[in-house]
Amino acid sequence: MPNPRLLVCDTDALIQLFLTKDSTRKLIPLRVLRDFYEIQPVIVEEVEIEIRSSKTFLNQFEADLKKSLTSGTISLLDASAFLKYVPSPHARSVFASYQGLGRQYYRYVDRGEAYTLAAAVTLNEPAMSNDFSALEVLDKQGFALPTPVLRAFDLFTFCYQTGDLVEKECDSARQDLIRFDEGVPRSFRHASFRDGLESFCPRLLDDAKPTIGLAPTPTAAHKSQRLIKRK
Amino acid sequence: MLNSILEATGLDSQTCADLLGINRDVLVEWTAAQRSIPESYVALLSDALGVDVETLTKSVRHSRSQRDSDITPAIWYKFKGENLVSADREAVFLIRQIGHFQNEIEHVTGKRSVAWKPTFDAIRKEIDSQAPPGEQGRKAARILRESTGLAHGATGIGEVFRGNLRRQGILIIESPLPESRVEGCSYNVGAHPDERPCIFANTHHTTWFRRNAILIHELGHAIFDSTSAAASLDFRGFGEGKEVSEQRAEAFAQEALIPREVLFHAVQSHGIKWDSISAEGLATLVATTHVELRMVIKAAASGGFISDADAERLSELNITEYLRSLSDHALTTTEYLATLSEEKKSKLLIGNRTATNPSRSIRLPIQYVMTVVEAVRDRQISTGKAAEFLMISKQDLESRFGNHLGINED
Repeated sequence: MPNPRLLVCDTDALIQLFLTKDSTRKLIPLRVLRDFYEIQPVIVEEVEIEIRSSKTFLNQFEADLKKSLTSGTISLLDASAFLKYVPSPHARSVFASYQGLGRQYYRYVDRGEAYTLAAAVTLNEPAMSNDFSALEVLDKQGFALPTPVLRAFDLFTFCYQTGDLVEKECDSARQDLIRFDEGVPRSFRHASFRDGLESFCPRLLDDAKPTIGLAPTPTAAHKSQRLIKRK
Repeated sequence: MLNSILEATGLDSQTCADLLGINRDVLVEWTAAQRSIPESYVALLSDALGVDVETLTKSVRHSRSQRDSDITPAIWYKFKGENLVSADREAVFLIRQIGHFQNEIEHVTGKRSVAWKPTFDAIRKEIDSQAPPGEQGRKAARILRESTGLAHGATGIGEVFRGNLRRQGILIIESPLPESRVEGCSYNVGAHPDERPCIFANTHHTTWFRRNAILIHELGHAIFDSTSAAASLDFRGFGEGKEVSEQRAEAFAQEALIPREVLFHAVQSHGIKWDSISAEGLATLVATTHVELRMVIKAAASGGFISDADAERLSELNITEYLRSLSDHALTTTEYLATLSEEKKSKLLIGNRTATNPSRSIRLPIQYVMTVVEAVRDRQISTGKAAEFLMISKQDLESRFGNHLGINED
């Protein structure tokens, strides 16, 4: 299976990456994906607006986002960007179909989440979101979900597996999130990064490196594990 | 086009952005047509501003060829009038957002009620518009009481009419607006054909007894005047208006809240004699009928129980202390809270109903908040969606309602 072309990121997960940027060498998880795996992290317009409008932590993320968009670490997935990922004769109809799906999701989940998941489903790419409540609700409603939906922590464990982050950096990111009262997967809430990894099943791994974490068991597609190759 | 409409609201871009919970620069980009408004914001903006989606998304070039009067919803003309301040327009902008959200949550939960429509239609059909305004109002109130079950028991309806009207689909907002001189107003919210009446009472420096009269007065306006006026506004101390619509709404409020039989029953059941009534007796009538003293006396005079001279004399009596001993509704908020058990406080969502995301806070109706919380508990909407509906952050949602949501992480 080829690597995905995109990782469609939602607000909460991206904010966790911004919050931990000092521990993770300035968003290295996103840069590793883009530079070594040719997976471009993208955000939909709704997420861009949410991050720019965020009132938490004195809205320090607006500057982080601007820098990431300027450097290309993150790209904006708007109507024109769809042309890059969909053959031009179909781009308009695919974009309309994405908007239609987003509209349906948006009845049940918040704006950023709805359009992030809708974009990932429409383009058949993975998404990154920490909002288990949204996934649960959409799943219950019978809507399609991206495969897989990564959590911010999946990028830390992935970079740990690939050697792009060391254990100390990952644990420091974990502590940052706890200090900021952010949601952290249960495995890591009261355990160090190394200890927590034993009971954490990562959803993204490099298939050429020794596996880490808990082995996957049969589960919903959006919680499945994706293996990717370094280019 | 958005720029022209926002200018027409009389709100500056910073205030509008704050009320929408978005960064001002984003709004400026939309108004300057530097980028299109994402579809997900169009419906909310359309409902909040009162313009249709097509108008909102028209190009700047097209908007230049149109006059303000072609695009500005009538309600904004009304709210730019004399005696009105920015706070009034901000409240309208917010309340219209709540109307949008209420339509959305009802769509998801399938609990939509439009019972107000047949009730309003029945009243309008029965009323002779050539009749004296007082008679129109009284007759309308009698139909309302009969058709909604509010006439049962011949007692005060202050504690039940809010729930009754909300079940019919009417949006009732009671929230403090300290800077405003508006005491009550009514207008429709939600886009056609999903519009619904909204009645608002400013809780700043008003008693519960007074608000009962305000809300029902505004309901009268909603029934009679919403088809011809974009909004009805009543300023502090209203009640003696000379206009037809005011006389009709006032007569409607009095007849709906304290018709002759309710007053008669209250007097009889408490052994009160009109010719020797004391301040304590009057306080008893206020506590029983759920309306302020002024309306009790007016009802007694128009019901033929007392003379005009008696009415004048009785209105001078001070019933405050008696009333406080007879009704919890006469207590201050602090005093009232002290009487409540923790369970009751939790049920009433004390302190948990205020929307804090917008720059201007507003108190949401209990039923609306509970519908949203129950929808999360039943996995009909996500926590993020609930936070959006309640206009609070996800963190606030968790801290206020965490125990009710039943969310199981991982």
